[in-house]
Amino acid sequence: MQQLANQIGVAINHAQLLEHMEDIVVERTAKLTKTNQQLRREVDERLRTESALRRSEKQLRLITNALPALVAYIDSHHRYRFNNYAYERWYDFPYKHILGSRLSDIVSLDVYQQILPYLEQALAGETVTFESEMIQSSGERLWASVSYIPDSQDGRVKGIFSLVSDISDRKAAERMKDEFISIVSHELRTPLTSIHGSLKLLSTGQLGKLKAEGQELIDIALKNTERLTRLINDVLDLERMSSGRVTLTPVACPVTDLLQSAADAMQPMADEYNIQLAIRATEPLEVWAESDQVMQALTNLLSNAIKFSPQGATVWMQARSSANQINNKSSSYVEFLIKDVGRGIPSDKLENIFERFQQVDSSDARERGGTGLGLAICREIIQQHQGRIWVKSIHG
Amino acid sequence: MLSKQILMIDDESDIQTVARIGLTIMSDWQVLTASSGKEGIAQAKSHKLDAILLDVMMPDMDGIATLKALKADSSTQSIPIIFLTAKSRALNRKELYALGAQGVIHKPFDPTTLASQIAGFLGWN
Repeated sequence: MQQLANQIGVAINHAQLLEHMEDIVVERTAKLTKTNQQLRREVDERLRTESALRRSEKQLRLITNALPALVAYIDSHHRYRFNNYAYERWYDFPYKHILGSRLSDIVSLDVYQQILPYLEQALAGETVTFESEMIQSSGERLWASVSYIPDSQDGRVKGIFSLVSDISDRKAAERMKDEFISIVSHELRTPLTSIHGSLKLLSTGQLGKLKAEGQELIDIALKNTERLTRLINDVLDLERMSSGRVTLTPVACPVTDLLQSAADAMQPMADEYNIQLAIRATEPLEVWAESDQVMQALTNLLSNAIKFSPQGATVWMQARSSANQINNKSSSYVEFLIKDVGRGIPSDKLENIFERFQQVDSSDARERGGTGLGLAICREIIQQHQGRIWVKSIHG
Repeated sequence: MLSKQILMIDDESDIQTVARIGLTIMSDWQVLTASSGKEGIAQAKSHKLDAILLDVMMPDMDGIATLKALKADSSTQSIPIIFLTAKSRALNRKELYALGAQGVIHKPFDPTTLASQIAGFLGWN
């Protein structure tokens, strides 16, 4: 009986264990099914992502291959990791041949040495743009605009995006414009030299005295050739400056020398208008500038101040150091001030007076010989020096 | 005191005349003229000159080539040269001085002050 009881007990235990194991199997099967479904979802997602990536790469290739510019990705070891079809036209290599090649294997040694400093600058994290003359595989020379944009990931530059475009047409147009300006400058100034020179000699009276009316006519003709000369000079100067092709070679200029030189240059005009020029006590400062250009700006401003001051008045000049905060960076400047007690400028004209051919009164051109370009030239000069020009005025 | 002898080299005959009359009535200088770089060099070699007024833009041999030729010849290299130019002002002036010019006068110039400008550049009084 005891044995039977034991056997029955064992059987019951086995049955309970079996039931428990079945429960475990069901539970584990359910978990596996769930995991399998999740895995399937992840695989599907990955397949979709890969498909999207392939479509995206295909679109990128379609777009970049259609561009006439060279588009590439260059890694930190100077190897091409991506390049577009334009490379085949420029270098006469099959474009797939370029992938994996070093930059120095593709461009000539001269060009490589030229671009190397810019490449290293970009790999150090700075976006750079420059112009360079290059030779294509055909031997043809062309001008290119090159941009290198660093690809930073997790604080490290992994490579650069390179964009190179042919600007030969623009350079040719610039050369033609330069030649045109040079020719126009010469062709306008040459006859003016003869006309102005002849009138000036006649007006001295040393070649024979004229009647009063004759002298008056000579003076009128002389005044207008001088006005024409100023207009030609101003138009050509402004064109040259605003074309952006003027290269400044700034040097350290003592500010007091600039003010004194400008005053000396304008003294004859000041004497003619019976105006005093005075320089207020100025700190011994130096300014980093192209001295001839700053002189031109100062003399233009003095010319206006003299012309519009009442007889017997004084025009004051001063320079002082100044500091400014721009983009959280502190910068030091030299501020030049020209002060007069003339009629002033109406407030509605203050914004426009630095534009071309803007004058407070249209009779100014006739009566005071202004061209309407003096302040526009001043603004170009000051902006090229990374400076600012402004006016404060009380009208009347 | 002997008066100065100046050679004016310019392809524009009207400008030659204006300068010559201006220099003559405002000073006691003698003025020779030449209409090309080549003619100017020949004049410079055959006359004792105190200065040369030299136009920049001339056909065939321009002012800069003329200056270089004068400076390369031992008989003419010490003659001071002042350029006359109708080109743009400030930057062009620096280039001309760098070539060895003693002065640069921009056109249109004032013939009544031309002599004093030349004297100023060359330290004559």
